[in-house]
Amino acid sequence: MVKRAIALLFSVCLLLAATGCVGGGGPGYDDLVYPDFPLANADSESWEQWDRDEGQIEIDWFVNYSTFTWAGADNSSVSQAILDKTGIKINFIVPVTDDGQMLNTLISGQNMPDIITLNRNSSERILLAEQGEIYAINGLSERWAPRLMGRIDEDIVEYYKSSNGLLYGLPNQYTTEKDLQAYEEMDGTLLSNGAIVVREDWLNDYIDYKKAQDPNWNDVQATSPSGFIEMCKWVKQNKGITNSEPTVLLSQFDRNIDYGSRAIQHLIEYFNVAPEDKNGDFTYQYEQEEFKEMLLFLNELYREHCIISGNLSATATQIRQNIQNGIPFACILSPQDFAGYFKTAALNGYNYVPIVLTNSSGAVPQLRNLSSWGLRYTMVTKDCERPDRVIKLLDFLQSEEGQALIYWGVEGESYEQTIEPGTTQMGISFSGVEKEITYPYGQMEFTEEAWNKIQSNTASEYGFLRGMILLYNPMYPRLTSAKGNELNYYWNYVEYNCKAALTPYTFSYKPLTVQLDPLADNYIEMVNLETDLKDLWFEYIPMIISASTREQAESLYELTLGTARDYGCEDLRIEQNKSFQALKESMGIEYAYPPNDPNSGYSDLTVSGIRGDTSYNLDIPSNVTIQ
Amino acid sequence: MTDFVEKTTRKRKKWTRNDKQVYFMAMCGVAFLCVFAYLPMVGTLLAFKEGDRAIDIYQVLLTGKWCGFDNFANLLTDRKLTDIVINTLGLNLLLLVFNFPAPIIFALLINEVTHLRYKKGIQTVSMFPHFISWTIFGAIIVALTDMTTGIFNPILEAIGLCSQENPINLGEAQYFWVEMIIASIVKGVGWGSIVYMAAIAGISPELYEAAQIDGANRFQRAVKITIPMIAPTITVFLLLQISKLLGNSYEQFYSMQNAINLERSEVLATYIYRKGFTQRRYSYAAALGLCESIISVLLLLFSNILSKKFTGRGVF
Repeated sequence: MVKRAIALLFSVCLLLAATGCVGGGGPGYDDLVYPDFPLANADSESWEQWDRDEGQIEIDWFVNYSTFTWAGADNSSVSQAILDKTGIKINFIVPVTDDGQMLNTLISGQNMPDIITLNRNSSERILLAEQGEIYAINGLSERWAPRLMGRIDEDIVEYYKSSNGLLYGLPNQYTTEKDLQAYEEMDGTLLSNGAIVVREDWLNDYIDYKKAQDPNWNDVQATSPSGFIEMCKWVKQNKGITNSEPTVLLSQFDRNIDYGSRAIQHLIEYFNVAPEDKNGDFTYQYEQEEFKEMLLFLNELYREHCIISGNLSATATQIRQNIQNGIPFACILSPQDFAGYFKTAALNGYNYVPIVLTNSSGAVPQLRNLSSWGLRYTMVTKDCERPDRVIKLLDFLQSEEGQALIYWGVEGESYEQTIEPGTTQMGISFSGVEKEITYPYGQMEFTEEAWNKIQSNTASEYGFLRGMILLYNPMYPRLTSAKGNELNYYWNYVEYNCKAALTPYTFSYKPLTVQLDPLADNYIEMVNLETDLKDLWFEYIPMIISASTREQAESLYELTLGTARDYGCEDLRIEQNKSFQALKESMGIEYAYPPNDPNSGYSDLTVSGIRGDTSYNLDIPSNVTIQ
Repeated sequence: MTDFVEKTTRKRKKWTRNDKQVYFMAMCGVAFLCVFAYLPMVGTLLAFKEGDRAIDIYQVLLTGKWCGFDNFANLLTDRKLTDIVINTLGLNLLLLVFNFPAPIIFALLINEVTHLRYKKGIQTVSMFPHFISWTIFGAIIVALTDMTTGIFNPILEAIGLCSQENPINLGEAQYFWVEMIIASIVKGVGWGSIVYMAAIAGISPELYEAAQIDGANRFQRAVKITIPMIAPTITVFLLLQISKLLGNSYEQFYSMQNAINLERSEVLATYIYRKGFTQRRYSYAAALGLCESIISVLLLLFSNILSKKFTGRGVF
C-alpha cells in the first residue's frame, strides 16, 4: 500500500515536471473568442437594442478601491434607471484593504468577475490586457455598442491603447482638452489637487503679532521654509499645542500611495522639485536638491516638535480625528479626501485656509491641478458571460444620458434641463461676466424638491451626485451646472475654499504622467524596480523626517539615494524618459514642466502674499444650509 | 500447526460499523490535510519558474519557463532579507521566552483557584481576545496607543514614564517588539492554557492528597507534581514552537505595521505576503516561502533530537 502511494506521488511529480518542460506562454489578445450574441447596429443607442424577453441579468463588478461605496446601489432612482435602461443589476464587490491582495487573488485564481475597476497606474491594467484576460473595448463596441468608441476622446484612446492599438478599458475622472477648453471659455478654473491649509484664526493672530512687532513686516516672509517654521513655532508656543499634538499634520503614510504620502507629493510641488530638466528630459525627482531641501524642512519641523512621531505612524482615521478637532495649525494633504472633517472643524469654529509656501530660493510653487488622464480604469474580463449586455451598460454610463443620470439623477424627478446641449447663446460666465457661451452638454438645474432634500441630507433615495463614480467624467457637472462646479452642500464650499486661493499656481501635470512601455523587453524588470525603489523611499522618508539631527537626516538621505542608485534608479529614469518623450510628442509639446516652457505664463507669476489670491474664494449662498 | 496459527492471525479483520465511522472521521482530517497542506505544495514549483507578475499561475505551473535556482540567488542579493530574518528570529525567540511559559503559568494559577464560578469567569474572560481577529485586535491596539488620542500616554505620564514635553509614541519601532509580546500574551494566554488545563485535569488527585499529607504546600505541589506530570505536553508544544521560529501569522504583524516601525515589524511572513500577494512576485515569494519551510523542518528535527537526548521525549 505504502509503495503504491509513493509510486503515485512520484508519477504526479513526474507529470508536473514533464508538463513544466513544455514551455510557452499564456494566450494573447488574439486568442480571445467573442461569444455569438446578436449584433447591434448604429441606428439607435446600444442600450435600446437588447432583448427584453431575456429579462434582467446580474453581474459582478469588482472595484479595487476599499473606500468605494454607493449608497444608492441597490435601491435608488439612479440604480433603477440603470436597470430599466440596460436590464442589468450590478453587484459591487469591494476589497477590505487597498494593497491589491484581493485583486491579485482573483487574477491568479482565474476567478475574475464580469467587470473590474482598478487603479489607472497599476501594472495589472496593462498585463491583463496583454495576456488576453480582457475583452478589447474596440471589439465589444464593434459588435454590440457601435457608438461607444465615438464617445471616447481620441487622446484618451491614444494614451491608454495597448501594444496592438486596441483599448481595453474606460477611465474615470479624466479631463479632455475639448472639455477643458469649453470650461475655460466659461471662465472656469481647475483647483489644485493638494494644499497646505492653516487655521485662519491662528494665522491672523500670527500676522497681527508680527505686524505689531514690525509694521514693515510682510506676510510673504512667512512663505519661505524658514518663515513657515518660525510661524509654526510661534503658534505652537502661544496656542498651547503640546508635544503630543501635531502643529503640522501630514497626510497619512501608506505604501500604496505615490511618494508614500500625499503630503510628500504636494510638498514636491510646493518646493518645485522639477520632474523635467532644462533639456526636456525626465528626472529622478528624489535626487533633486529641492527634494532634499524639502525633507530637511520636514526634519526641522520634527525636531521643533511641530511634526510629531505619532503623525508618521497615524492611520487615515487618526488624521481625521485631529482635523475635526481643530488640533493642528497646518495640514499638508488633499483637502478633498478630508472634506467632511474640515466641514466639522469649520462648524466647530476652526476654519482652515490655504497658504503659499515656496522653496528657499523663493520659486513660485507648481501645484498639480485636477486635470488628469484618469483615476480608475474599468475593464470587461474574459470571464464575463454576457459581454454583449455589459458593454451596453458601459456605453450607457459613458454617454451624456448616462453622465446626466449619474450626477443629476432622473430628468423631471431631480433635475430639469434649462439649455439644450450644443447651444450657443449669451449667458453669465462663472466669473459673472456676460458673454456668448457655448454649452457643449447643455445646462441643468435641480428641481426644488431635490435641492431641498440635498440641503436636508435626505436625498439618498435619488442615488445621484456621482455616487456611481466609476465612469464619471468630472467635467460634466462643471460644464452643465450654472455654478461651474459641484457646489451643493456646505462642505463643498469648505473644500473649495481650502484650495481656491492657490488657483494661480496650478498647472496641468498630464504631460508628466508617465507610464512605462509594456512593449519593452524589460517591462516586468522595470515594474519590479519601480516597486522596489518606491518601497525603499517609503521606508526611509519617515526615518529622515524623524532624524534627531540635521546631519543625521542628511546622511540618511544620502544613504537612501546611494541605495536607490545601486538598485538602478537611473535605468528606470531612462525607461521613463523614453515614454515621457513619446507622450510629449503625441501631445505636440516640447516641454511639459511650466518653468521650462516660455509660453506657460509661469515666469509672470509672483507670490504676493501668504494667502494666495483670495479673489477665487466663494461666499456661501443663502440657499445652502450650513450643517 | 504453526502455519495454521499464522494464517488465522493474519486473516484480515472484518470492519465493524464502528470502525467505519472512526475511519470516516479520520479520513476527513486526511482529506483536509491533502487539500490544504499537501496540494498547495505543488505551488513550490513556482520557486523554480519565471512566474513573477504572471496573470495565470496555473499556466505558469504547467507550462512556465524553468529558471533553476535564479529566484533563490535573488534572495541572497536582497538587501532587506538579513534585517527581516533578524527581526523574525529575534521576535520569535522573545515570544518563545515570554509567551510560551505564559499559558503554562496561567494554567497553574487557575488550577489553584478553588472558587468554581470565579475560576470559570476568569477562564472565559481570558479567552475572549482569542476570538477577535488580529486585524481588529491590532486596530484596537493602534487606537489605544495613539500618541494624541490614545489612553496609554496619559497613563504613562501618570506613572512618570513620560511627560507632556517628552511624550512617547508607542507606534515607534523601538516599542514594537514589547508591544507585540504583550499583545500576543493578552490574546493567546487564555486559549493557550486550555491544553495545559486538560493535562492538569488528567493528573491523579491521589498524588496531590499524598503530597498534602506529607506536608507539601501549594507551590511545592505545583512544582513537584503538576509540572513534571504535564512535562510531556510542554515538550511537544515547545518543539512545535521551535519549528515556528521563522513563521508567524502575517496579519498579526501587518495590522500593527506602520511607516515608522518597519525596521522592527517587517518579518518573513509580512514580506512574503507583500511580495507574493500585493506585488505578485509569485516566484520570488515561493522561493522565500520554501526556504522558510525547509529551515523550519530542520529546526524541528534538530530540536526533536536534542529533546530526545536530554529528556527522552520527542514529537516523533
